[in-house]
Amino acid sequence: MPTVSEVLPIPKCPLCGMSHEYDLEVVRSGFLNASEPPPRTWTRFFTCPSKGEMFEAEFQTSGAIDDVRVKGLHEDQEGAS
Amino acid sequence: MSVIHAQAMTPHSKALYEAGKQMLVESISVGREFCKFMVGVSTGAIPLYLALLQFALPKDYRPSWWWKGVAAIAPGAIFLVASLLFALGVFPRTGKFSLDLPEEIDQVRDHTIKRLGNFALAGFVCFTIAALASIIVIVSGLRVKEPVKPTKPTEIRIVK
Repeated sequence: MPTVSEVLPIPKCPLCGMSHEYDLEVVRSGFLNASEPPPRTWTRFFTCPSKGEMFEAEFQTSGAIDDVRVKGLHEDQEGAS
Repeated sequence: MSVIHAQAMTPHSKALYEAGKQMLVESISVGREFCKFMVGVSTGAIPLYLALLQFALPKDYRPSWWWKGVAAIAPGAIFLVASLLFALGVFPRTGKFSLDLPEEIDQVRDHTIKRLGNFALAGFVCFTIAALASIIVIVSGLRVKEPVKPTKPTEIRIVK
């Protein structure tokens, strides 16, 4: 299945209040639909780089997506934290 | 891609995460423990089956047809195959992976779980077949009538 990397910005972390960016692995659906599928909501766990604790975030995707996996903190953010 | 809302983990989410973590860590050991336990059960079932068969069949029983003998041995042999399959599940394998590469660890872990699962399933199928077959054989054995012993000829003395 085709996978693409995407960056999810979280403007306000519920633990530290700062903004973080996370790398996601998005598994796109192999089937081509004639009509655009409705937006899908996902809930995933993320680790706050400042506190080192986990929080949950709900986000929405558009297009035919089968799965979204959190790879970790976006590279630019790793140095900043 | 847009964030709808972010919040600290709820107690339910925390419990779910812990459950997932436990499943991930213990997934290999659970399968391994099952196979290890079943090796003992399958090998232990062989003498138990033979003892029950001996109890069920009449003394000095000799099967009249060769296939009856094979049918009597078959459950024991299948128990042995099941124990071999379970033993193969826990058989140590060589392999290497780097702890720096999570994908490699994940791949090895997935492969090990799949291999364990296949052997555990195959072993369990064999064990179930052997258990059912042994019940059938023992019940059939209980129905076998004891061979008629030749009676001692009655001695008749003619007194003249």
